[in-house]
Amino acid sequence: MHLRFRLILPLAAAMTVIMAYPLVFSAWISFHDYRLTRLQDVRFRGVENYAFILSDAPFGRALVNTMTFVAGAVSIELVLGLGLALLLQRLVRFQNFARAVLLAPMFITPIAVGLMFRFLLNSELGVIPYYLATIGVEIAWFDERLALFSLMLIDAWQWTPFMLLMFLAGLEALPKDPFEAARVDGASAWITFWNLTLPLLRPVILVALIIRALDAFKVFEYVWAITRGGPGDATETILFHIYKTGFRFFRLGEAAAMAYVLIGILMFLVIVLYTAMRRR
Amino acid sequence: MTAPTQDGLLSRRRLTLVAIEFVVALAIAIVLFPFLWIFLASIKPPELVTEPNVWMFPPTAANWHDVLLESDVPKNIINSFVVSVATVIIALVTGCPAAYSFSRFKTGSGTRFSVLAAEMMPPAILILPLFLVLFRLGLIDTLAAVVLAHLTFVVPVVTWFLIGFFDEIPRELEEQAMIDGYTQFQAFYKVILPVVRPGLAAAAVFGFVLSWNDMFYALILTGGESRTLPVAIAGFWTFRGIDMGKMAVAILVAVVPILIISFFIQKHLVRSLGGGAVKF
Amino acid sequence: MSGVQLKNLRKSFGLTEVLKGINLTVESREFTVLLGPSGCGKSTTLRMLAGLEPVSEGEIWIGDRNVTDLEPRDRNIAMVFQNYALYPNMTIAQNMGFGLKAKKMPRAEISARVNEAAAMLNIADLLARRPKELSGGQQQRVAIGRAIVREPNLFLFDEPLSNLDTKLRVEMRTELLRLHRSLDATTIYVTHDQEEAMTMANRIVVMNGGQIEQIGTPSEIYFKPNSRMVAGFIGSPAMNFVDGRVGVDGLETSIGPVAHPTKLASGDAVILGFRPDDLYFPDELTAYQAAMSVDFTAEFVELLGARGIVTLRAAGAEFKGVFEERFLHRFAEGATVALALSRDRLHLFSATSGERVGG
Ligand SMILES: Nc1ncnc2c1ncn2[C@@H]1O[C@H](COP(=O)(O)OP(=O)(O)O)[C@@H](O)[C@H]1O
Ligand SMILES: [Mg+2]
Repeated sequence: MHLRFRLILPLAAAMTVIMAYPLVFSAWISFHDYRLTRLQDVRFRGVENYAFILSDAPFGRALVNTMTFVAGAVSIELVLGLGLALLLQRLVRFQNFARAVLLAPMFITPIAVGLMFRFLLNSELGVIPYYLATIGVEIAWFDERLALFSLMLIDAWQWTPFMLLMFLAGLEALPKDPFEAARVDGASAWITFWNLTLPLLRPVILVALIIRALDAFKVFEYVWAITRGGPGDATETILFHIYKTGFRFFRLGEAAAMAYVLIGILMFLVIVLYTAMRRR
Repeated sequence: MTAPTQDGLLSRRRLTLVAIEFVVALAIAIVLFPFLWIFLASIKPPELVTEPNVWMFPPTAANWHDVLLESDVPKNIINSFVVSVATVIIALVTGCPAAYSFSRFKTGSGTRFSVLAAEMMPPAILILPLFLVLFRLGLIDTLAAVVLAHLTFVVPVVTWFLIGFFDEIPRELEEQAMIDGYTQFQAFYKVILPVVRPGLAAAAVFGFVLSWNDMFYALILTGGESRTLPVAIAGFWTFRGIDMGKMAVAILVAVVPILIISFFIQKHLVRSLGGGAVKF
Repeated sequence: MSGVQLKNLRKSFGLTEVLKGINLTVESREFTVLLGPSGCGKSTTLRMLAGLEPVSEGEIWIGDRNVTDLEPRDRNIAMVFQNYALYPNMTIAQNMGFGLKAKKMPRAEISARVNEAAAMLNIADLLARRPKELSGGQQQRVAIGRAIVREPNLFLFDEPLSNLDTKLRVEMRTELLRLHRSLDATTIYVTHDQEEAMTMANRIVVMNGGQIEQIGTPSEIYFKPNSRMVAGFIGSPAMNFVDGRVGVDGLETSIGPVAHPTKLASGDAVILGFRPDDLYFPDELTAYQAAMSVDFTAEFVELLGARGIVTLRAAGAEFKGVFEERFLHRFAEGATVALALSRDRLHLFSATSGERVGG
């Protein structure tokens, strides 16, 4: 066999065991009435699981919640990340220190982030609501209206650093000449940003968006740590919903079908963004 | 004559810089404050933990003592460590040759994209069959189960990273080795691997961090014996005043080592993204 | 040392054929230069010779061995790359000895050979350093040293000097020639720089569009270019060309009639070429030598030192001439200067095929 394929062999074997097989198996499960509590009595259901979840209100709600969450969180992260990257680039002193600190949140375990903010934002023991109250601002961070938004802010706290990292790398890789030419031509910082920086960064922005958006779809830990989907179903996200269906109610067939619907949505998203990226 | 305007320019430039430094400082404060507060909580006497406005108090080591010496946390730490190291080793052994092959034999952007796509696969879809298979094999509540699950996301990430690093190495280097009398495989491990060692280290550390931080898979696949640190942290969430301090300790134990490690790989992350993801 | 033979060598990348049948024999100990515009397939030819690129069709022989399907390591060749390709993690000594280690040569012998080559190249004091601590010129020497210690059948160079500055390039050129003389090694050297080719080669192989245009000594290539392409590619400033047609007794060209007998049929379209160095003042040529005389209008002069390049105009077209400094005052802007072409310095090419048809 050609070296090219021999080198890929270990990866191919590993991926078959840990990804291809589970994918096929879950596809199979998704067409069955597969319950952890009734493993000896697994019945074929055809597309009934799919039909069910597509008309299932809680699933729809979870889908809407997740998409709102992803759109909100990723937009905040994009804007903050790009802004901070541009600022950091112009920083004269403490640049390395500032970068090191600002990138830190993305490296820590999300469950810890969730619990920290549950503690910080708690309306009775939280330090943030306490001091906000002293200046007359009363915010219940985790009530029905605000909970999802609060989760977005927490996500932004942890993942803006990822955007920052991507944009720092992207800015570093940009050619220097056009910017020097722009300066010689007397272009203002604003014009340079809109006409040079942003278009040149476009591919990086798109890659960062894809990676971040797909990752945000998997949000689980903050929900688990703070709201467990509540109040009501205000913060029930897809992954949390699938987790509940599969491992609380043991209905694996429906959970698998939901996971496949999720994959379909993600693939659609990826293809849209990928084509947007290829078309310069 | 020209002096005043220059002065004006200079001070305007300085003013911009001060503004930038202020915004960056604010961002740094937002990043650091939660850690500071959690640290304070970890050394507060139990009766003060629920008081958000207490900044000065006689510090106590009771929480640290309890968590580190009289709880399961040390065992959780060891579990997490074993899982992460095993995951990274397997990921390197399978991912490294494959990444080299993808990079060298100009496997098109399709393959690269599918590596990225594998990483983006929602855990929801893999966990169901993985759980069932591991359940049948009697591997639930073992570290091997968690390693297997973690491979699903660590292997693609490590491979993705390494492709970027291999891409940066000029092709002529191994061609020279082949002309010098070595086979391509020898050229790979005698010449290319030593050159790419810093990249390997960075990828390994990043994989370690990802595995260390996961809670979703570990939550479902582990029990008392094999519980990893993030799952254990989530267990402190009962939110009675007493447990807050201990939770703070557990969070710091999980987070601080990772933060220290992250400072060492940041530079490589920026570079590898600059070379790999950003260009792709 | 052994010679090299390429027999009807072809290479395609996917559907594009980049080498369209290369036939070439390189004699043992010869210094052969592959010359051509960039993208013409020189590197590809060299890489196929080295075994780095699989052959699509044809055969490669080194000495009396058919090496077409051999791995690079079995061909006993050495190659110097444009970017030197030094192993960054090894010292200079390790770099140079790496190929000998592959042959399982005893350590003592490796270090003896490395030291000898290092002395020859004046890099003996660099042996303990690493590549990134060396200047470009020094790295170049190491790359050459690494090739020498192997004592290969064949040396391959792919534009090895193009990353150096002009002065260093000229120095290294001389040094490479001296080295070639002392090693007596068969060498194939790729460059797109005609000056390098003219000064270094025993034989030049001019390539264009994946084919060989001409094989010859530097003077054959310069004085008897086989085709319009070679004529235009070799020489600086480039050869002047005028369109023409074969008339009853000579050529009709846009700058006037030329007394030049050809075997071509009357009416055939041709291209007449003459080098900038081959413009003469009428009194320099005998009546027989002079093929034609043209009234040029001088436009401007670029002084190079002892000589200068003059831009001239006639019949609406632009021409270049090269003259000694003492004549340059004759070319004041707008001045009309009569210049003659020498019969034995004309080049005639077919306008359709571009092939040489006389001169
Ligand atoms: N690996 C490759 N894949 C596709 N085309 C290639 C490859 N290598 C070279 N080519 C093409 O082959 C032609 C000849 O290239 P090369 O031999 O490098 O030219 P030269 O060295 O004369 O500049 C070029 O048009 C180049 O684009
Ligand atoms: Mg080339």
